[in-house]
Amino acid sequence: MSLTRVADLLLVVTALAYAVASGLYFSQLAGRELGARYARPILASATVLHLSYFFVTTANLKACPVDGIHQATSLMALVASSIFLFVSRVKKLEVVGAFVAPQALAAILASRFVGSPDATPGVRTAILPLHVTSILLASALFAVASALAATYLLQEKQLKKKKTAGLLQRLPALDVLDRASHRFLLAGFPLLTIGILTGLLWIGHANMNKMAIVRNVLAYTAWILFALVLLMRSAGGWRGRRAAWGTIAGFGCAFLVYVFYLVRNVGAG
Amino acid sequence: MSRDHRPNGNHQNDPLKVAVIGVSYKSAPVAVRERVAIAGEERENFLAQLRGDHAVREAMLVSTCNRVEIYAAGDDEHALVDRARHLFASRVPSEDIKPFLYERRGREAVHHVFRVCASLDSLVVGEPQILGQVKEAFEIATGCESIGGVLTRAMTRAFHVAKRVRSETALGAGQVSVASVAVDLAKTIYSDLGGREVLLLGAGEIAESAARALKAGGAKRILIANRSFEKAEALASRIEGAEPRSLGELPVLLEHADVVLVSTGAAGFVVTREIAAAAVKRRRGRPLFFVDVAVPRNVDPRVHDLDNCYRYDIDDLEQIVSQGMQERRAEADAAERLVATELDSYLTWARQLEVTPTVVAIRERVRATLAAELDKSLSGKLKHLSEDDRKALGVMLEAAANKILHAPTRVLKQAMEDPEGGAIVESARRLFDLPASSSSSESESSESSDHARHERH
Repeated sequence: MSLTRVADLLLVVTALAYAVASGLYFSQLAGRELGARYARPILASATVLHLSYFFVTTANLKACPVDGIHQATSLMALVASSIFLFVSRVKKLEVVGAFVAPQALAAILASRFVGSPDATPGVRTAILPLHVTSILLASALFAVASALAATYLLQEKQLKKKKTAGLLQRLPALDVLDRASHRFLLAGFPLLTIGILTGLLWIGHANMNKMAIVRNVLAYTAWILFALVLLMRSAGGWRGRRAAWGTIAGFGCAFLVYVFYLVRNVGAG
Repeated sequence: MSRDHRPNGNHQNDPLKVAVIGVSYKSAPVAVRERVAIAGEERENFLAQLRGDHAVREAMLVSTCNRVEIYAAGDDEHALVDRARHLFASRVPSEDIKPFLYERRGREAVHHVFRVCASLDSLVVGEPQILGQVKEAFEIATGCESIGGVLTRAMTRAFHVAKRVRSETALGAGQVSVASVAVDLAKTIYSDLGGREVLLLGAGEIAESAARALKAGGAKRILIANRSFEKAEALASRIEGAEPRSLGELPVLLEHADVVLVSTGAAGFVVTREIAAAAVKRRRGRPLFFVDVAVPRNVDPRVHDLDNCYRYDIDDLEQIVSQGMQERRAEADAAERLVATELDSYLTWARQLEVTPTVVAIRERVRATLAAELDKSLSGKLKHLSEDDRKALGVMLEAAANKILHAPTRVLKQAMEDPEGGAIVESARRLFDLPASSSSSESESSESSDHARHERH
C-alpha cells in the first residue's frame, strides 16, 4: 500500500474519531453518561491517530513538517487537542472539548481538502520554519483559549437567563474558565508576536498580491485584538464577557489567515 | 461469634422477629420529640436498660432531631414493643407520649428500617444525613454489645439498600433548601468559596442559616453588616471566622465582597443599581453575586443587567428548590420500588433460613427411623436374608422414603415464596415431632457482623 493510501485511510479514521468525540462531548454537555465516559478516550485516540497521519504525510511529502501551510494547519489542530487533553485532566475542564474537538475536525479536513496540499511557499528563507512554528503554536494555544472563552459565554448566558437546571451545573465555574482562557492567551501572545515579526522580515521577499494583503491585515488584526484583551484586562479590568468575545474574535481572525493561506493557490493553476 | 451470649431461644435468629417503636416528625411535634430525645452517653445506658429485660435480645437506638426510634429483636415482638413503651414512659409520662408512639413489627419493621436508611422517610426526602446517623447508632450499639445476628443482618441489608437507592436513582439530586441553592449558584461563579469574601446584609435567622450553609460550602471570610451593629456583632460571635461591619460601609464592602446575601427588613432597595454599578466599576471586572432573600426585595433587579453582576431573588431560589423537590418526588417512586424489591428478597432469604433446616431435619428423621426399624428387623425376623436381599431391602426403603417426602418437601419449598409460609413450616415441624426452628448458626451471625463492619468502612 502506498504512503498516500495509508495517509488517506488515516485521515478518514482520524476525522471520524474527531467527529465521534465532538458528538460525545456534546452529549456530555446534555448530561448523558455516555459522553462523560467515552468522550475523553475517543479524543485521545483521535489525537494519536492524527499524530500517525501527520508522520505519514510528512514522510510522503518528504518536506519539513512546518514548511507548508497545510501540514502546519494539521499540526496546529494536533497540538491544540494535545494541550487540551493535558489541561482538561488537570483543571477538570472536560466539557470544553465540545469546542476543541470540532475545531480539530475542521482543521484536519481543511488541511487536506482546502487548496492544494502540495502548495509550498513561493519563497524559502531560513526564518520560515521559525515563523511557521511560532504561529502554529500560538494558534494552538489561541484555539484552546477561544474554546474556553466560548464555554465561558455559554455558562454566563445560563446565569444571566437564570436557566439553572442542567447545563449550568455541568459547566465549570466562571472564574476557572476566565482564568484559564487568560493564561492560554498570555502564553500564545509572545509566540504570535514572534510570528508577526518574522513575517515582517520575510515579507520583503514575498509577492504581495491582494490576497496576501488581506491575510496580513487579518494577522495584524488578530494580534491587535489579543493585545487589546490583555492590555485592557490588566489596565481597564476587562474580564469575563468582554475578554471572552475579544479572544474569540482574535482567534476568528487567526483562523481566517489559515483559510486564506490554504486557498491561496486555488484557481492559480 | 455472636455478641449475644444469652441462652438460645426458639427464634433466636429469626430475621423477622424484630420491632420498631418510636416517634418521628410525622407523629409528634418537636416539643414531644425533644423530651424523648436521648443524646451522648445516655444512649448506652438506655440500651443497657432495654436489654435488662429478657424479652429484648438485641437493640439499637436512633435519636436525631426528626426521630427517636428503638430497633429491637427478640422471641416475642409484642414483648419487645411493651418493653420499649415502658422505657419511653419512664422518660415522659405515658399519657403524654402514648398518642405519638408508633410501632412496626416483623416485615413492616424491616420495611420501615429500609425506608429510613434510604431517606424515604425523611422530612427532606433524599437528604444524606440520615444514613450517617443510623450508621452511628449501629456503631454505638455494636460498641456496647447490644446488637447481635438478627439486627446486624437487617441493618447491613438496610445500608446496602440505601447505597443502591443513592446510586441507582436521583433521589438525592437537586437542592431542596434556599441556602444550599445559594451556595450551589455561588459555586457556578466561583469554583472555590474558600478564598472569597462573603457579605451578609442583615443579621436575622435567614442570614444565620445562609451563613452556616456558606461556611459548610467552604467560605472562610464572612462579613456581617446590619443596621443595628449589636445584632451584627451577636451573629458574628456565633459563626466562626465572621466579622461585624456597619451598614454605612456598604459601598466599600461591595468593592471587596464576592458573594452578597441580603436579608434586611428594609422596605426598599438597600443595594440600588447606582450603588452596584459604582462597586462593579471599582471591582475591575471581578464578578459580584447578589442573593436577595428579603421580602420586600432589597436589591434592585436591574443590578442583574450590569456586566459581571448577577442577582437572584427569593422567587428564583424557590423555583430552583421546587425543581429539586419535583425531581426528588419523581425519583421517590423508583426508590420505593427498589426498596420493595429488596424487601422481598430479604423476606425470601429469611424464610429460606427457616425452611432449609426443616427439610433437612425431616429427611434425616424419616431416614433414621426407617434405618432403625430395618436394623431391628434384619437382626430379628429377617436375619435369614442373604446379603443381596438385605441390600435390596435398604434400596427399597430409601426409594419409599424419597417418594413419601417428595410432596412435603415441595410444599415447604413453595412456602419460601409465601409471606404466610412460616405457619406451614411450623406445622411441618410439629407433624414430624421436630423441635421449633432455630434456623441459623452462630457462625452465620459472626459472618454477618463481619460483613456489616466491612460495609460500614
